[in-house]
Parts: sequence; structure tokens; C-alpha cells
Amino acid sequence: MINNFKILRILPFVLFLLIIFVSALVLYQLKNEPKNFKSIKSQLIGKNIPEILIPEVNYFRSLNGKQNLNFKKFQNQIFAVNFFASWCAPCRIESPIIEELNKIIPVVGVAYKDKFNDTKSFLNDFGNPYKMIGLDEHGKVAIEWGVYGVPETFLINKKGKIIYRHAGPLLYNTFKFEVLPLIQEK
Amino acid sequence: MLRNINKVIFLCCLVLTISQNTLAANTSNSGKSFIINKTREISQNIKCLVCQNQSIDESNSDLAKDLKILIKDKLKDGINEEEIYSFLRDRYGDSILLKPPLKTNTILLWFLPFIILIFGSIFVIKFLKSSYK
Repeated sequence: MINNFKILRILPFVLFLLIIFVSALVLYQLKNEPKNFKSIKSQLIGKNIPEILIPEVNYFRSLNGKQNLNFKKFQNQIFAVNFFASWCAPCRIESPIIEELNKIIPVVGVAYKDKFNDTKSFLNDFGNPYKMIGLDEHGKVAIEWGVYGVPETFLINKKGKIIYRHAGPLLYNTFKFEVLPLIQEK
Repeated sequence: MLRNINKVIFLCCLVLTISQNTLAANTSNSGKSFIINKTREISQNIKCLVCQNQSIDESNSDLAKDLKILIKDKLKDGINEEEIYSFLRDRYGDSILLKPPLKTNTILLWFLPFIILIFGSIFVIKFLKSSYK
């Protein structure tokens, strides 16, 4: 009886501690949880680039027949893949930075859910910052790359593995403090 | 007599043709409806990554629509449910699933409610017992 009474007295305290512990745990998880998809680390980091074929666009003429983007051109060097679209306003903002990046390492652009003529007009208006351009008309390539939306930029190392992903427009600070050190480091 | 036999053969052929066509139509319809139902079933378990607390089945976002088309195409290609989930997890992580899988870091999430329920029940029973005495 006394034992039971002791347990009864202790139990609310144990429950209280348990609730405090759980709340702390939840708060800790919430604090560490990415605020939005932009800060979620890509699942493809450290993996080889997806093998899906991307039809190449000849910027000056038309779709390059049945030719696909050939990433082997960039074997043994760092390069970037940038998903963009003519209908995407932030892509216009990041265009000058992509141009800067293309001066340092080759940048491959993949036009996401776009039509060839629209892509061409976009590049005419804002300049073509890419070494090569691919067209992902139906967004299937983007899903293979785990893309959430445009713009998104990936860095690929000399071994063909994805080492970095940035969701959203690549702005100067990110370019200077995240992308450049990675390029210089490798 | 010969005429009658001919008539019977003709009727048999007619019945067979009609029944085969109906069977073929039913088979293709059931195949189609299987893919549609399975696509919906899988879509209901896939989180819309650019929305809040919505499955891709409920969402009209571009990415959700593309994912639904992808699931449908994969089912048409004969790829099974598990492979589709694993394809999506490989690209978007476990966060693409509406029900988180049971892993070491999700054990508390799954079992804590039961632990609290057990402790709570013990407390309530003890409390009731003592108040009756």
C-alpha cells in the first residue's frame, strides 16, 4: 500500500519529466529541420550524375537532331549543371552569375519544361551563359536529378560525382562563399 | 439441312466474335483502371515537396503533376510499387514519403505515443484505485 502510494506520488513527476524531455526533443528537431526545400540536402550528393539522356539544343539553329548532351566532354574536370526556364523570373536574376561561373568552369544549362523557341528568345534577351544547352521539355530529366523547381545548380567533380546543389537563384554571396571555394578546393 | 448447319455455324462465329471483343475490351479496361487506381494509391503516399502537408494526389503543383505522370509511366512499364518508392526516395529522400519509415531516428516518433499512453493509463488506474479507497 505504501509502495503504491509512493509510485502514485512519483508518477506525475515522471510524466512531467517525460513531457519536458519530449518537448525539448521536438523543439530540437524543429530547430534543425530545414525551413524549406531549398535547404534540404540533395540525395544525389556524392553519387554519380544520373544517366538519363538530355536532348541537346543547338542555340543558333534548332534542336541538335537526336543528339544528346555529352557530359563526357567534361571528364576529369569540374563542371556545373544549371536547370533554368524561360518562364522563370529568378533565372533572369542569376543569369550574370551563371555567366561568371561559366568563365571559370563549364556550365551546362538544362531548359526545364520549356519550348525551344522560348528558350532561344530567353537566351537572346539575357545572353547565353552556357557551354552546352539541353532541353527537358516534360520535366523528366529534372526528376532524375531530384530537382524541386527552377533554378537549381549542381556542381560535378572530376570523377563525375555531384558534390553540391543549390536550389534557387545563385546569387553573388552563395557564388563567392559556397561555390568558388568548392571549385578552388578540388 | 445444310442451310441450317450453316446458320448454326454463322451464329456460333458471331457469338464468339462478340464475346471475344467484349473480353478484350474488359481486359484492357481493367488494365487501365488498375494503373489509374495504383497511381492514385501511390500518389496518396507521396508528399508534395513544394506544398504544405499535401500529397501529390491532392496537389496541382507542376512537380506533383510530373511525379504523377512519372508514376503512371513506370506502372505502365511494369515497374512495381516498391521500385517506384525506392526510385523517388533515391532522388528526394525519405521526406518524400507521407509516412516516415521506421528507422533508428524515427523510433521515438512511432513509439512515444504508446509509451505515454501506457504511463498515462497506469497513472489513471492508480489514481482511481486510491480515490476509491
